Amino acid sequence: MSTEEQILEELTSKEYEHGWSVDFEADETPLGINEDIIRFISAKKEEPEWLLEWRLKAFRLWQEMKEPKWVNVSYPKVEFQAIRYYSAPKQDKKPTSLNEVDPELLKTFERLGISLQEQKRLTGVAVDAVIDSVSVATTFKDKLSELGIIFCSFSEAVQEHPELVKKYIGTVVPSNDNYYAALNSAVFSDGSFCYIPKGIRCPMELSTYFRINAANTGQFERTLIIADEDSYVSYLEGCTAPMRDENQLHAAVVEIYAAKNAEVKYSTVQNWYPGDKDGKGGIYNFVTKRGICAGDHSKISWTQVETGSAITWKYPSCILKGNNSVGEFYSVAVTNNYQQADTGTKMVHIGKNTRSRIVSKGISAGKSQNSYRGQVEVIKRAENARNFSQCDSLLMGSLCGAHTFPYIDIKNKTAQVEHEATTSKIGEDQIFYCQQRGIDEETAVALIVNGFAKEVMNKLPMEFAVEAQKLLALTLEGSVG
Amino acid sequence: MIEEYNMLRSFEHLINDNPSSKEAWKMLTEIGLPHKKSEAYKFTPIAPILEKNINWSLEPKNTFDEKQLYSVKGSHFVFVNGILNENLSRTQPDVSFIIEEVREGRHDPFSLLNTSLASNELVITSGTASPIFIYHFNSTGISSPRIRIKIKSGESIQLVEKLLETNKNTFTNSFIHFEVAENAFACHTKVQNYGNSNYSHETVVADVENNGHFYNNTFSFESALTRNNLIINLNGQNCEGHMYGLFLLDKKSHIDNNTTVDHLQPNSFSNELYKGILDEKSTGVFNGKIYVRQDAQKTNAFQSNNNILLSKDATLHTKPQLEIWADDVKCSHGCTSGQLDEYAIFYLRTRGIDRNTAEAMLLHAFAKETLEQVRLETVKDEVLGLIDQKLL
Repeated sequence: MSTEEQILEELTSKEYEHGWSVDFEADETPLGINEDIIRFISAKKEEPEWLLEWRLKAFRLWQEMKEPKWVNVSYPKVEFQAIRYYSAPKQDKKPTSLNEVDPELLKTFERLGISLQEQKRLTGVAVDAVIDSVSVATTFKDKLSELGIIFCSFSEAVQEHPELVKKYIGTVVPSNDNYYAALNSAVFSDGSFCYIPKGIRCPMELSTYFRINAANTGQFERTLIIADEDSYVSYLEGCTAPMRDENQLHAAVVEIYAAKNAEVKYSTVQNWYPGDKDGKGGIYNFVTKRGICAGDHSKISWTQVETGSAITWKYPSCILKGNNSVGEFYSVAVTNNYQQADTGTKMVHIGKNTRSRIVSKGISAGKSQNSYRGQVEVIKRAENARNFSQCDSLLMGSLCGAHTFPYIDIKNKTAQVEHEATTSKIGEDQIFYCQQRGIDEETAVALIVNGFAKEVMNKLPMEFAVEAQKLLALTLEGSVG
Repeated sequence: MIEEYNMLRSFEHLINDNPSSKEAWKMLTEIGLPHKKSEAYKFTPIAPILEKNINWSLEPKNTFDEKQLYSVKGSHFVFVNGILNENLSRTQPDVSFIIEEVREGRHDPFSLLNTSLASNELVITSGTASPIFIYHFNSTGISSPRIRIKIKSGESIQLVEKLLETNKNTFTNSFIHFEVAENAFACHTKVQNYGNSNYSHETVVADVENNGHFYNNTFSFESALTRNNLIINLNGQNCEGHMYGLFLLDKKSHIDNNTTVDHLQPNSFSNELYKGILDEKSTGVFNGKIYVRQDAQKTNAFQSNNNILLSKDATLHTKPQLEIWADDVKCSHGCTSGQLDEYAIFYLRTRGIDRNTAEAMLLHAFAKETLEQVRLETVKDEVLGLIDQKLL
């Protein structure tokens, strides 16, 4: 088994590619949280009174809540008073076009591989980039606005479309939903906002890039996507952070609202800094993501590739309220070294003839722990609900763990629900088969892992699929079970 | 918590005087009975239900009925209100048993309660050629039977347990422990068909050593509330654990099957098949846990849970759970819930079979798979009879 150890060694010595930080002048609050900090953030954002009230209400709720303990990950207590809740790269005035954006900042994005300029020109993907806490640039805005599509930073939406924000904020994820959602509702600093009007099919992929740059900073962004009747949008989200020894908190909220016949596709490639090979540092990724299929025949589809973060704790969910609505969840979660992941989904069938599909692939290596936790709930009046769930785990190395906790709660006899799960390692016969055909062991493993994750990778938009495959290969390069 | 403590207080005068019981009682009063938010009892809020429905000071009735015993040659142990009645029991010479003072058991609330209240423990040692039958005739508020079965190396036993609640509003809290030595074999079969006002919490623990095999078959029919805790520890290598269960419920019956199989050493095998048919206002809960510890390489563990809901008021909660810390293993679980296949019914109807009969045939076939491991014909016939009685 020496080759295995050697390969694992190689794998664990792999450094995090995005682990640099850039020094731009930042505008920030002191450490800690209290009502003044919230007032400061709100004032900084020039927010209307109702939003400040909403934040303060959430903060008061949060103070009364306790951190949940049921999760299958362990981490030292988060010191909420040692986090900086607002940090913005300093800009003298708001940029109106890319030319006015701080060149240092643009360089950051180039290093990230998302040169805004280039993306704008070549791929035609509209990008909204969020550094630390604020949105710094949104491309393709004019072209989108011709169609009536609103795609901007959250703070801009608060200024320019307060009626939409007020109507939908907190309707899918109420501020008292859970501990971290409440915290986010109190201190969220920016994020993305997207509105697709009736009958419009968004002609390009919308994309947000998140990056935590400053030290001791938590990132609390909030994304709100509203798809009006008969509309379609595909939305991408990517994240990176510099290498730091301390753990940093990322507590975001994503809300999706799909009206009648609308379809929203939300894809995430999450590559937050996972900590070093001894488990030091890394991001705590505690995110609440939920979508509601409010109208009939609507559809929400979550696709996620999770390779980063010291701890991932999130369950992108669908509430299938409209009749004939569809929810989908496709996930690949990879953990290595000391990473821990507890992720999955929740499908709540409320309307008639609702369908949901869950495909979850967990890959654990090193000393990591990977859990799938999911719930399929069929309420009493949800006639003819249909669910299929599949969660497979792949174990690499003898020190990691894979766990499955699926909950299935059915109150209607017409429901047809299937769940299956398997756990295994890469078979020696599979590797032998490849080697027989002249493929070396390392390539064989990559091939098998890629095949294992293919079903999910196929669901990613083109722009992300390439990146995701590269990430997967990078995280697991050469690890033979 | 206050309410549950009240319930505990009504047991206080029943606590045994021996050190294990006192210790268990002390621990129980510290941890309390499971409350609404306890994950393990999430869908079966047992403490408040017991608090509301059980008459703790119920007067015992003489309810022994010879006809309830299986007419099979073997050792028949009769428990009355949780205590072995040797006069009513009929044993074969090949079985040896003693009554011992109760020892420390598991540390979950209901096991602690059993340790506190069980006056003695029946210890059956030696494997036997003829089957063993254990009957519980319970008519008091709470009965706490306590049994330990030691199967020596190379021996095998068949054990059938039957609980007969013979008074209304009773609660049985049983604890049975199997010690399966190396190369030994044990098969435990339970038939649960109680009245609609009888409650039970039944714990079965098996410790299996190298090359040992343990089978459990649990058939549940009517009951107000039954919770089955089945824990199989595969402590040795090359062990096997098999779990088969059927719950066929109607009225307001509530069954909670909680099974755990723990693989601690390499090369063991476990297989689980639970099937549920839920009619009227019944509730079925299944929680199957498989643990594969770091040392338990080359483990094969399989689990399957299939359910059919027949009525719009039936509820099902199922939670298969795999926790794996070893890499060279093959584990899988599958679970389904649905209703009868309309095409299958149509097929039968085109052949002149009426709808009700067609449905009964399909359900019968669905249920029968769980009976494969029952080796005593009398018991098998009894269960098949119960299935027919419920379905037709």
